Amino acid sequence: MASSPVSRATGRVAVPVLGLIWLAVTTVPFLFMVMTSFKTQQESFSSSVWTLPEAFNLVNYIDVLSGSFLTYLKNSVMVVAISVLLVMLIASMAAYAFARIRFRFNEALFGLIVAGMIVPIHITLVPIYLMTRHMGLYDSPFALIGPYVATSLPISVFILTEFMRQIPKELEEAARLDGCGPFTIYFKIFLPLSGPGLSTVAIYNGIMMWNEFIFAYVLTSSTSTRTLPMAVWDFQGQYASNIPAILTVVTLTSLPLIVAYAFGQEKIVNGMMAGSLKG
Amino acid sequence: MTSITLSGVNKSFGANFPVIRGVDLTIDDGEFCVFLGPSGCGKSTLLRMVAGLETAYSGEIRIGDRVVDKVEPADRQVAMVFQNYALYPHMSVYDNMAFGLRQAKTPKDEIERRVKEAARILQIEPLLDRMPKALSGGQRQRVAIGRAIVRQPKVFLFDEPLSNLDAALRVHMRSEIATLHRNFPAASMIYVTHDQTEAMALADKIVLLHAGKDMLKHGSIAQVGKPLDLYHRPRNLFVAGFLGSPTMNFLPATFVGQETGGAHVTLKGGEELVVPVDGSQLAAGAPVTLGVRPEHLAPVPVPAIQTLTRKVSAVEHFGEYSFVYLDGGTPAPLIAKVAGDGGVKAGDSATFVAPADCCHLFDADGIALNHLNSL
Amino acid sequence: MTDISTRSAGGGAGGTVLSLRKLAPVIFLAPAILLLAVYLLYPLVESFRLSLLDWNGLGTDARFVGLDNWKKLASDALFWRAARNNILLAVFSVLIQMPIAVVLAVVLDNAGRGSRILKILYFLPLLMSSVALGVLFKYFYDVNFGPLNALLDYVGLGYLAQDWLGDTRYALGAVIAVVCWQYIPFYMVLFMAGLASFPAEISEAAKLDGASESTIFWKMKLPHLRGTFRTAIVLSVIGALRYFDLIYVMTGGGPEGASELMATYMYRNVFSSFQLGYGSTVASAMFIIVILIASVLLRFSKRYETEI
Repeated sequence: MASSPVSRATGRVAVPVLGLIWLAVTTVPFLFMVMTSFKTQQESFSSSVWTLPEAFNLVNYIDVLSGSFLTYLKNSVMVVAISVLLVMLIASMAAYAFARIRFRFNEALFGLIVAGMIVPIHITLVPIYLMTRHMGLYDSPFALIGPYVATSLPISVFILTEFMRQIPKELEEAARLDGCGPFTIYFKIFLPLSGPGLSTVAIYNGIMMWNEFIFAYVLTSSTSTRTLPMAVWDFQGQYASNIPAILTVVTLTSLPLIVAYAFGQEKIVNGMMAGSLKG
Repeated sequence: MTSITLSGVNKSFGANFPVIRGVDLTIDDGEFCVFLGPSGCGKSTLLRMVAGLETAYSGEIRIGDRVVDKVEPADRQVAMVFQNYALYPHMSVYDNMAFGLRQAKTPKDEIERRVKEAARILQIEPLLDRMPKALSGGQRQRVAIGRAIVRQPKVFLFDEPLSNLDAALRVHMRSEIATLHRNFPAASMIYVTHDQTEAMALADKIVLLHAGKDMLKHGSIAQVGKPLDLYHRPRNLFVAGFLGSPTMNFLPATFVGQETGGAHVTLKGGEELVVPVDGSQLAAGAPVTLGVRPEHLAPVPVPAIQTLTRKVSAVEHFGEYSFVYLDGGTPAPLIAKVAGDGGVKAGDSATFVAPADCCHLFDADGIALNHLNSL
Repeated sequence: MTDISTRSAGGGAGGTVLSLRKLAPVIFLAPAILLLAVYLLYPLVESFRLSLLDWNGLGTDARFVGLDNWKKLASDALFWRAARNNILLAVFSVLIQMPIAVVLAVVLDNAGRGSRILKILYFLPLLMSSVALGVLFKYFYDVNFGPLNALLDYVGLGYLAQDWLGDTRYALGAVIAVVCWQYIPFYMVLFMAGLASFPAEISEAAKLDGASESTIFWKMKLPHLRGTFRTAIVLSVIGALRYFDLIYVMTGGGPEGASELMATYMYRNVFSSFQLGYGSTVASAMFIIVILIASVLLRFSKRYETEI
């Protein structure tokens, strides 16, 4: 049937048409966002949404960037960088133990940690909120690091353990003959050889943390302590009905990841897929 | 003193699965010792116990005059070459070889001297900056050996080092390992393989380990000795059947009595043979097994004393020699390896002499009866 | 491997090295276990404890009320409506996302050169934070200034224009549409990987046997994707049950609870009504529901796997 000339022709047409339709569905909201960000507030009320901006108007960008936006950005970079590094270190240490050291409860403990992946974080929200207040960390960007690292651990331990199990046992034995103890083997052999696994963990968790909302919302409250996702939230309140300004903030908060994506699409797609699939 | 002594070494995985059973063994100073056996016989485990990578369940291992059971692998003055080389993929050839020395805090110039020296011996000097990924199988093998050499160990351990190489390279590297042994006469070497050709070619001493269904013997030593001793004077059916290719022919026979020339036996086909072994412990009529290697069966024109006459079922020609398959072997067909084309064809009846000195006789337990003449 | 230590408790010069080796798993695991205990296990237990209290979260006037909160929950229509919305979200996520994702995967599978660039563009929504998306779509759906209604107007479907997020009839659907918009590319990539693993020899052999492209698709490739479907469904259902951010930002659960989810309901109880105890009850109930459904799904999909 499909090999008949007619249906082959429909196939030739249908494929690009469907592909373009979805491209439109994907891009229309983005177009709306970017286009509106170049309009003045006046313009957004007076003209139809789908008319192009009168000029390549950067007033919103200047306005937003001269405000507290960069503080949010700085907090995000700091929190995510520290958390990702900690996740890589702590998860790879645990993964090394699970993958390579025989001890009682190895499998049970591994199963327990991996099961942590299906726990909805919302159940931890109130106790963590109370705990954070108690520790005096409330309304500090550092309050986010603990929950971020902890919620990233199950998936990261899982990915890295799977990865390290595939590193040949002989390498470890060769290292033992070369005089390495477990700590040297971890640092000098397993850590360097886990590069791809570590990058998956870093990409997936980095993106999740970069976009994380609920902990940031609950554990911080001031402009000076909040992260980028909260910038959108706060500006939304601040600018009220200035839609172009708000969409400028949305554009700007999305930009860092989109720029990163431009440099390593495959890596990011694969990292996101691997992370979610295991999760 | 770099002799290695294993006394009463046992190991099992789980309660009921012994892998090493009561191994007593001494490997002398500078000796090249090969652990040989079919897969699963525990030869690698035994090697790894010497390395310190596995722990014995009981028994004692000495290297030199030091009991090493509680000594870390790195402190046993052994170096190991792994089957799949186990080169650190993220380090250059130089760093691979230097890694162990750096761990031992060897001075930098000393490291450099030793690595360069090993690289020279192994002719891998141009490769020192390469990563393992960029090396061929043979080159990786050399680097793995180089990593062992730089440590100046008292004992070299090889775990099936040639099994990942193709046939031609394997022969070549085999001769290089023999050269290595000559270059380091003071070091003892233990070499694990399942390949009897490698074992015969390299070994000063072969340790053949049991494997198979007989759980009482599994993981125990079947025979220790010089390669040709094992070939000519196998102590039991397992050794006789393992060494040699094609394997030794086994024929069920009945013990008739001890005569001056040796044990007199009758085969199922009615042939009478005298095997120069001591059968005085056997009762007349006892079942025995006659063993004779294919290469020792020689064609003769007419039946006489010490001959077998059987129908030829097939002939395989290899040019230089031929395999003649004969009816009446148990369980496998009887094979004779004869020079040239053998002069017989399938369907013929052929007669072969089994020279008395080349016959072996095994009692009902599979133990060889002692030969009357020594080698 | 810690073999060495088994035989040698204590013992001479090697003693310290060996005990370090024995301690190794503890040292390697300690940071992970500590963090998980503090930020996952303790909050889990604490949440159940809080669910037995009547407390506004501020003072010290927490009152132990036993199972009162749980009894209240059992007859709390708002909670069950939220749970029902979670289920609706899960069901519609699967029903809408899977077919579109498969079609797109097939399209890209046949698109040749353009497929890479399309895949990259399609994937963009997954990089957006849900707050950004929520705010973006809040304005996208806006009744007066929103481009959606303008678009409908433009193509002559102006009578379809609605107050998408403000109308109890449409709010949940509008939100589900955004969820689908964001996640369809994810499942598309998943199905593309599934299709890529279909052995080329099989379709070649089938072609030699006279099978048409469509037969190959329906009778061979689609069954080949069975495992991928299972994974996709598990992921999307579990995801839907835990959903929070996007909906909280877009509707806050409104109007009149029309798009309320268990997570948003919990949030409102704790941080808007300051009913910490009852909010924790909602959170704990949500936890139980998610774990129950997840384990049923996982078991079912596992059993299914072994049957094949």
